[in-house]
Amino acid sequence: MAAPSAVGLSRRLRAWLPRIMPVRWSRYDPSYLEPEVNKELYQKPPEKLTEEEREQMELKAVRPIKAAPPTLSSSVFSDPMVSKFTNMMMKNGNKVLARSLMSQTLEAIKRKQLEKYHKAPENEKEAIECNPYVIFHQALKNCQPIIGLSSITRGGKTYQVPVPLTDNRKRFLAMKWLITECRENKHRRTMMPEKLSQELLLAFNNEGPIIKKKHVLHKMAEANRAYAHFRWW
Amino acid sequence: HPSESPIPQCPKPQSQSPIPNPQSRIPDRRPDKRPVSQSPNPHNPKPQSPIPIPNPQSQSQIQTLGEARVLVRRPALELLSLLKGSDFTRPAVRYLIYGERGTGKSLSLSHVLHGCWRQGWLILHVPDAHAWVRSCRELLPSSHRRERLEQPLQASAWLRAFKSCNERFLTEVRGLSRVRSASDAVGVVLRELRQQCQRGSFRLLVAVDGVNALWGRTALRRDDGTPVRKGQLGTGWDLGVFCVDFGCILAVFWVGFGCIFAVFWVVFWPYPPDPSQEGFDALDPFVPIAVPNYSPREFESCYSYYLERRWLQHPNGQCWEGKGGEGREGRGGRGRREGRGGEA
Repeated sequence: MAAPSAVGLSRRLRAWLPRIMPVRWSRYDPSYLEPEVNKELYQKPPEKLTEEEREQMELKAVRPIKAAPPTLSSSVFSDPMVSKFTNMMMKNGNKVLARSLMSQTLEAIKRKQLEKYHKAPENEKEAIECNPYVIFHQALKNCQPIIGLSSITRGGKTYQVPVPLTDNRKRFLAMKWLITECRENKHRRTMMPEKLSQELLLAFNNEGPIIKKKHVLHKMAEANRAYAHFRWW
Repeated sequence: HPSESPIPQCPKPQSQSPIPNPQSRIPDRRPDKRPVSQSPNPHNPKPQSPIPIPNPQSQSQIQTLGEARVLVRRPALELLSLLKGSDFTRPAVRYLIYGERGTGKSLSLSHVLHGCWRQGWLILHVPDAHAWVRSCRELLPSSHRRERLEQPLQASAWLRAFKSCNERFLTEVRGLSRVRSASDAVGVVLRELRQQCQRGSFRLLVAVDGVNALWGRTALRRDDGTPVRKGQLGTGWDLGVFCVDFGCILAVFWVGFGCIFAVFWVVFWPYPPDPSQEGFDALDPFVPIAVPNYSPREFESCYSYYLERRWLQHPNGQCWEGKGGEGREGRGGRGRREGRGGEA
């Protein structure tokens, strides 16, 4: 776990001294607005818009708008978590392959659950979740650690200090663990979608190696509780 | 409508066959999914259909949704009615199912085969002619004819399928003498069938999925690396121009030998169409049956079936945009692919 990164620092500085610190590689002037992709907003008649939405629309007439990144989609099926996960799975910029693997994974989850659903007796059918997106989100949520560890050096010795995690960091860790687990601990001939769907279903039920890893991390944080005062942020 | 989708560059005109105009007489039936039961229903025990499902996609759909359902479409209905009404004293009529990729030719073929099987016809079915001319593991030189090669694995697989399909007829079909290899057995079976069909004891239906493979180049090579030409593949594969036997069958049928059965050929005709002239010559004259993409009604029917079986899980899958929106209406889209490509 790294010390507070340059991003966090620059964000705080930016709030304090506006228009001085750029965020990461963004070179846009702060007056630029984010692109609005939600189609429903544009289809609403002007009377039904709330105050904020009306202000936003008026601003758009005056201010310039940033270019929409290629990953931003107006499709009804687009999901930012799924896109993020796909990007993390991608290797050497092969987005086509990553995306196809992702869709095959979701399809595999759906097929497994549907088979179970159709074979189950009537009273158990309600309990079986068949929506792969719901399973994906819930599995990732279950894999997210609450507390993390950070290496801090004091007097020549490095201590593992328990530290609270931001939401982004939690999401990142969950996805990273999932992908690493599926890449390393599978048989040579198993396909990635198959293994991923297996792990996601296990995580959805709070079982499996990734949940174990999360528990191990929590236990270590609990064990190193004494060093918590080393944290200064 | 079948006549509206033309085959581009088709060199041969429509055949002048004694069959009535296939475009008339079929009432406009509402396309609905009728179950083709694959597993025995405990309430109404029907025999299991041995017709193989054409592609792995359909197989996985059947496994996931737990039942095999077929959308009743116009080409399949036409074919069934034509076969029912066909005159068996005349020489055999050939039907060719053509269409673009993914429009449902193989499934229509399976539908028709199942219908005929239910009515008690004897089925001679080649599930995939392309599989025979490619990727063969064992290619042995033929035992009794030089320069011919056999494919024992595929021959034995086909024999097993044939047996499971036509078990009730095997007592009637006599004289399967002991043969040394599977390919020869296939040849013997075909010869026996030909002889017994002429006596009129049963109705035979010959269906080949991917008939254009028989007149294309083979992807097989011998041990020394030389490629195998069309005329050299197996005594058992008496289909098309491969072997003299089936050439005889074709000739016999067409000359009007008094055969009392109907034969129909089905082709997977990809776009652009197979320009092989020999194929056209051998198949001609035939009755073409076009299989178009799903019409809007068929799409709705398919979509509601998927919703009912809970295949479409995304909550946005039911709105207009989720179904494909403008793109679908512009193209008159494909039912199955739309449902899959938009969401998982």
